[in-house]
Amino acid sequence: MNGASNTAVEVADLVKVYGSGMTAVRALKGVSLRFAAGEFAAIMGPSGSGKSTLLHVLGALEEPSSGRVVLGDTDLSGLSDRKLTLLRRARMGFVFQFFNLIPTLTAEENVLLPVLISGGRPGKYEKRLDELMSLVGLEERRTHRPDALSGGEQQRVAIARALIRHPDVILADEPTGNLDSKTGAGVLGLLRASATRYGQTVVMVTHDPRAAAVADRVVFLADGRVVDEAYGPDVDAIFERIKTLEPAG
Amino acid sequence: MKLRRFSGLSLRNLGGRMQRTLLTAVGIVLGVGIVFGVLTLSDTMSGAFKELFSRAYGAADLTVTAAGGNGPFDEEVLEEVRAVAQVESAAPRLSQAASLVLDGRDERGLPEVKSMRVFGVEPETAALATGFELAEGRYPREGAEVALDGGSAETAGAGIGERVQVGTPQGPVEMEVVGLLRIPGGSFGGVAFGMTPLPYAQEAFEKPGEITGIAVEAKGDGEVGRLAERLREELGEGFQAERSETRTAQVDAQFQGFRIALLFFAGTALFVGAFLVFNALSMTVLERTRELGMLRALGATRGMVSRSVVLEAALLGLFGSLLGLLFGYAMARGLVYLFGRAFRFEVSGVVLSPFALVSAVVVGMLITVLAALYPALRAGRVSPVEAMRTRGGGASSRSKRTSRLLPILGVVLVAVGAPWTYYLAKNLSSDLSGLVYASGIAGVVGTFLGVALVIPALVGPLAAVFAPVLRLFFGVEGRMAAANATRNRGRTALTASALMVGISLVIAFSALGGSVLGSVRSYLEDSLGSDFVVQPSNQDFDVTFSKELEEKVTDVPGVGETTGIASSFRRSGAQTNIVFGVDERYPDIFRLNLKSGDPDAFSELEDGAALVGEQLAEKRGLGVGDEVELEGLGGKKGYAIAGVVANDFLGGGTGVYVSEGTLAEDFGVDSDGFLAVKAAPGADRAAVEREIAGIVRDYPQLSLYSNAEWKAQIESDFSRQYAFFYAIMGVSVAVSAFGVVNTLSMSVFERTREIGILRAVGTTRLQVGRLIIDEGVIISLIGCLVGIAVGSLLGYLFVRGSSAGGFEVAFFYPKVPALAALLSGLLIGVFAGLLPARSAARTNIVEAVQYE
Repeated sequence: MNGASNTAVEVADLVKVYGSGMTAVRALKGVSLRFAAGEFAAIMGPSGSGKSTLLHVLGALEEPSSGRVVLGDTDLSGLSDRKLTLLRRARMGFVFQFFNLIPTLTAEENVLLPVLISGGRPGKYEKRLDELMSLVGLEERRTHRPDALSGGEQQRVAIARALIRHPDVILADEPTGNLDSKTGAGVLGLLRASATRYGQTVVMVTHDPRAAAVADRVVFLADGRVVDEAYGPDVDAIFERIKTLEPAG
Repeated sequence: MKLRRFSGLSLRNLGGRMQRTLLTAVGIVLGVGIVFGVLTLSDTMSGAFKELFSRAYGAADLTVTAAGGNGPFDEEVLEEVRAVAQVESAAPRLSQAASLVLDGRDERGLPEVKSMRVFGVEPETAALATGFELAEGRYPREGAEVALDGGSAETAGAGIGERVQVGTPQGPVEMEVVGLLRIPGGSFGGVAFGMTPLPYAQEAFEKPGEITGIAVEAKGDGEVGRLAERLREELGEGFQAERSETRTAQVDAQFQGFRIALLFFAGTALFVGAFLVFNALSMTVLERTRELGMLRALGATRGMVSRSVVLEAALLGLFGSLLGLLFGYAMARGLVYLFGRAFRFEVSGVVLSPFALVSAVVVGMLITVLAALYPALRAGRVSPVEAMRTRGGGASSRSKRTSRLLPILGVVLVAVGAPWTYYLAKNLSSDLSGLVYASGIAGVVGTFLGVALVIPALVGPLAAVFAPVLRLFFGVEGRMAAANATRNRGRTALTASALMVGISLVIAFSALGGSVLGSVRSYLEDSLGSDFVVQPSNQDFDVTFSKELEEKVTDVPGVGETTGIASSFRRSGAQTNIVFGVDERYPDIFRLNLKSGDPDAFSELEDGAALVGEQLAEKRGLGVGDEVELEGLGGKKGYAIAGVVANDFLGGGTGVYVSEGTLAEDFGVDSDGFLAVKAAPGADRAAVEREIAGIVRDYPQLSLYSNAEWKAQIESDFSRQYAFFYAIMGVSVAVSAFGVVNTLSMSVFERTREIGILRAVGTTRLQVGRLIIDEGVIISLIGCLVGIAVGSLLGYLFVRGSSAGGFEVAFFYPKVPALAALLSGLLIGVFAGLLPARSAARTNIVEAVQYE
């Protein structure tokens, strides 16, 4: 393919406005970013900085008010809800803060959910399932229901679910937010591995400097704009940078 | 079982939330159950009636009867019929009401009797005359011989060769059982059936030389139509020749109205059940907002998400409907029993038709799926961003915009629906066709819908009224509960509406019943001058007695006046008339209240004039000076109207009164079926009653009632019939009570965090529980109060419109039912609140406060 092939996803001049008139809130005020294939990026910023909105727009969950999102060589602007849905289905994976497993399904059924949604035959994914379950270390717990799993185990199921159909981009929203630091480290290791081993682009929103330190690159957002970027920073550097971004007081 | 496809998720969801599933299914189970029960009941009943008619009229091709009814005619007609070339054979019969005397004694020590129909037949043509087969023995040949249906023979304890007692107009006679008849289903609708030789019947029932019908068999099957034509020509206007099926079809048509009314009541239960499904699914969607958002994020389309909710509903509907069939079968048995008790009609066995089975399931599933459409649409609209939200989504802002318009629309609907109900009620007594029923029901449903739209606007004010009262009884929780009930006004209103429908039907129905009963009572007190009445024990219209009885009673010392009344049902086309033959003493006992006509219009009856009931006059646009046309023995004949009766109690407003002589001459009825007796002033009534009772004892088919006893009898008949309808309506109230449970559990679920905080700041479990129960009480009180108001209005309109019994009906307010409804509102609220309150009280404080 051409020179753009190592850019997995790109956003340009993103603006997102909620509401209208006097009560309008400008969550993104012109954000341009580019994420390479196989890159593990963390987005940080204080509350209200627009990091969640950026993730929503990146994940085609919400449409930007203006600006462009280009996934591989597909421009998402103006696509219908149905097209966006099919795009998410085929090329994106999500990991959520609250795991969002379906309580009535077993661990492996939850992992296979994207296959079921796309109308695929679960039988065809037998091998992939085995591979992922051993990757996330849950071979012994495949038929457990979510309520029989610990928080860390649930998040690992969620990561396996995000990986099952080989998405180009994995979007993670505070994946360690509800976990203690030790299990959180395990989850981050898995995200790291999917970027390194499978060449997937991982974009993670977090406010935990230790989580961000695992990433290749950290993007700092404040007040709807990108204010800084750092490549391979350590925890202390991130922590110092973040402090200056928090509103005074 | 491993999940193989996306749609499998729906089943998983149902199974995974069993408690919710069951609670939701209850509405469908009860709704489908009652619909199935009612369908089965009406299938069973119309089947029984049809069977009865087709059997009674025999396997004959045609039946010749007097035009306009089953009146007697000269037996020489038989020879005319036999003379017609296409007639293969013809069987005469004289059908008369009688009673079979049983061994038992009733509560007054009088012998128990069973209604009976006696057919006088020729021995040679007995098999053609009726459709019943001989099971044992032989047909009667001469004298006091009877072939009796097997079931009744058993009840009377008589076998072949033994004797039974049969009540006739002349008193009881003994007959020897010579044969037993086989009746399909074992019983002729609870009526005993017997065949005697024709000459014997003619003598015993005082109908010398007369018969009431001729069963005709045609030569060759294709000839029936032509033969009917031929017979009509030959016999002239006073007769009709009908195919047996025609009669059966008529019975079915008459049944249709009743069936629709029953289905309406059943339908309300299903409607309320649908509401329950709607509420529960809305709740499920709300509860699963984040899960649905996740599915959307993972690439499920809107359609897939919506379809999964619809599929869930369809499965629920199927599950509920199947369970409903079981419940409905039990219900049908109960209803058939209640029906038999209410209308004195015995049915053995329940008819299960495939139509009832299929339609109950289809309707159940359809209703469930329809109720699921809106929640499904909302599920599809859940944004994928919800998967990332930390807090559950906000309430829809859309409802606020429309809420101002809806109450206005509601008022309009009520304004249209209620007068419509009134208008149709007015026509109900004259035209019982399905269409009138259906549009009347549409009026009622429109009214309900209108009120349901207004209720959201009432929730606030009503809760504000209850709040201080609740505070008085329950302290601060009462206030908070009132505030909570108004928080989700739409849901409170929906729940209350469901309850409103059931309660208002009960109230309207008891208003109607109470008013009819009240009017009957006041009629008996004001207009009936008699002290005693003698009438058929089983209220058969055509059981009669001879003049001899009246003479004997008149001779009793202390008896002042007596008047006997004879009656005849006349049918011509769709019109039915009841014609009364009265004697000159009638106005001495019955106070005649003439709406129009000369004050002594009554004396004109002797000259062949007639008095008509007010409703009949109104319906046909008749007045004094016009003629009322009736079909009698000699064909159609007009009778000059001398007056219009305002208080036509006996005829229900549509009666025609002629002189005794006219009735005998033109309609062939010359024996009375009702005797009113007035004691002489100063006479010892107890002694008079004893004397008359002694005379009536010889006529087991008749009973003597004092006014008080008669009133009690009418009242107990009423309550038996009403119990039947209350049973059906009770189900819809029960379903709506489950709706309250559902709504309260929703409230508890939504406020988990709030309840946790309340507990954290020191609210006791008891207080939290009371908070929920109070909310339940508020919701159900709103429903019941509005229900009482709407029910009173509907009841009033119905009473005014229909003048229910046909005669003047005053509106009596159903005080006791209204009070009972209010009380049941409280009880439903408390009981519905118990389970949700328990789960609220058990809320784990720490978990609840952390609850996202």
